[in-house]
Amino acid sequence: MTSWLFYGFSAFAVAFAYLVILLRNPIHSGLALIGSFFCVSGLFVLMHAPFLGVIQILIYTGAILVLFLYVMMLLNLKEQQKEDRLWQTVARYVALLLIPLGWMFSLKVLNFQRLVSRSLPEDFGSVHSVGQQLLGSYVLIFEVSSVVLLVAMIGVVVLTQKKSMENPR
Amino acid sequence: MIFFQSDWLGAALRIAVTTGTIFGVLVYFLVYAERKVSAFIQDRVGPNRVGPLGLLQGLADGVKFIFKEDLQPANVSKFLYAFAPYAAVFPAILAFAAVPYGLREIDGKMVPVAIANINAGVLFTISVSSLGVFSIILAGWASNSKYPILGGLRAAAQVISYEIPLGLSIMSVLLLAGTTDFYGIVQAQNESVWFVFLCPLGFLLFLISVFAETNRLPFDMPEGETEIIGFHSEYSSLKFAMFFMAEYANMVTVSCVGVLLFLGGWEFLPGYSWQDLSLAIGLDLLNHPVLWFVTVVWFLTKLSFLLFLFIWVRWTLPRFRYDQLMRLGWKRLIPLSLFNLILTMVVTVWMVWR
Repeated sequence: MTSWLFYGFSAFAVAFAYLVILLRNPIHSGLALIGSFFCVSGLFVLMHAPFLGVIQILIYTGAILVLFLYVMMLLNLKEQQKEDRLWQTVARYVALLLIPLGWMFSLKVLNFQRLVSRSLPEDFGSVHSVGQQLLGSYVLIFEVSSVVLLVAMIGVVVLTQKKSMENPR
Repeated sequence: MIFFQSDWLGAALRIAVTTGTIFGVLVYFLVYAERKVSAFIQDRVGPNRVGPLGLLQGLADGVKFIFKEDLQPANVSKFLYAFAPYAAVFPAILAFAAVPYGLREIDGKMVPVAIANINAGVLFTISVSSLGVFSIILAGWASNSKYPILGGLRAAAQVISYEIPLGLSIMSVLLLAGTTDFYGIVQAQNESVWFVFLCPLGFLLFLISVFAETNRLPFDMPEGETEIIGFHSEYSSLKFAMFFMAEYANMVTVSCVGVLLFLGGWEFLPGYSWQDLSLAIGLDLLNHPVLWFVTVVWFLTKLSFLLFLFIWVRWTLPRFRYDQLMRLGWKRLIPLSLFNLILTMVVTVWMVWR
């Protein structure tokens, strides 16, 4: 059962990811990316990491993709009308062939679906254990990454501030 | 009864019954209550023609929506135009999947009545209901018209902005309860006090941001009649009705979350649990087969109180201007909710150390 769900989610994740680069309209690509993220979130749940699955939807789909779509809507990007060059057409079909091959390779040879059926401690992947890990053994990396994010935030504020000081209203 | 023997069929039945109840009964009566209460507040009679007390008015409206012409403007993005109403309804239904709404006993263990009992239930509900913003963006963009795209931009900015104080106020509850599980949060309130008394500021922030999240007055910029035309102005017939129903379903879901997080869920009264009541009346309610019925009804009572508050506020307060809305969100609510979160942290640590 879980194995079949794994096949389904992984196949759809790959298919949606392919659609992201295939579709001409950026908004459609964004939607395909949402589909892919949903499937990846399903994979996380299957791998006994429900917290990661929910966070995947909360952050990537609910926050980052919303902003992507928002910006694309503001820019009002038009569908790309240009005809493909020959190598682009060839590359598309080669990718269409290679992607299922890679998917089957990862399933059959690398045997990824064993990740969904391994035996794990009781509270593996729960909010509690993830919190313990993050603020326990990985506390340094956790804090450093939060500082990096803080720097980015302050940077954005400073950059926009400078612009408005140059052109006072 | 093969339905209850097979896990799959049982789950399917439970999902069908629950979502059917939300959409068929709760949303129906919510719309009816909205009209009746608004009539009461404005000293009118309200719907009273169709059926006894106008109870069938919603049915008549539904028939009207179905038989209206489904007009599709020229040059819309065809797939996305049709997809956007579904993008509104889908999260509205799915968000309810992890919300428990009662208590029952299975093999001597207390289990919440819900479609799915997820460990990270609060996070799941919040993350899924935050997906509703896609329908606003897509509907505005796909309509290929200037007013809907402007309305969509404003609505999306509003929803994204108010998600931050909403998340922060919920985080303070998670800190107090020490769990992300709805059942655990209700248990924690049963053991101490309802969180509406323990962190009233959080409840206030939650309420305000929820009003903005569900596009209700005083923050109904996305669909206010006197404002710039909203994101769904190119939609008609059933497609419009889907946006409409999704809004009401969202109201039900967030009110459920509010009841669970702040008002003690299915617990009886603050400081007076079902256990105390069973001792007082001499009937062991917690091991009685009607337990689930009593708790579900009690939960619905609290839920209808919050929903009444939604309607009450809508017909009492005037609408905010858009810049006032944004200023309130970013300059007042976010600092306040951060302060509330830090205050809660201090209180929690103090309670542990004491």
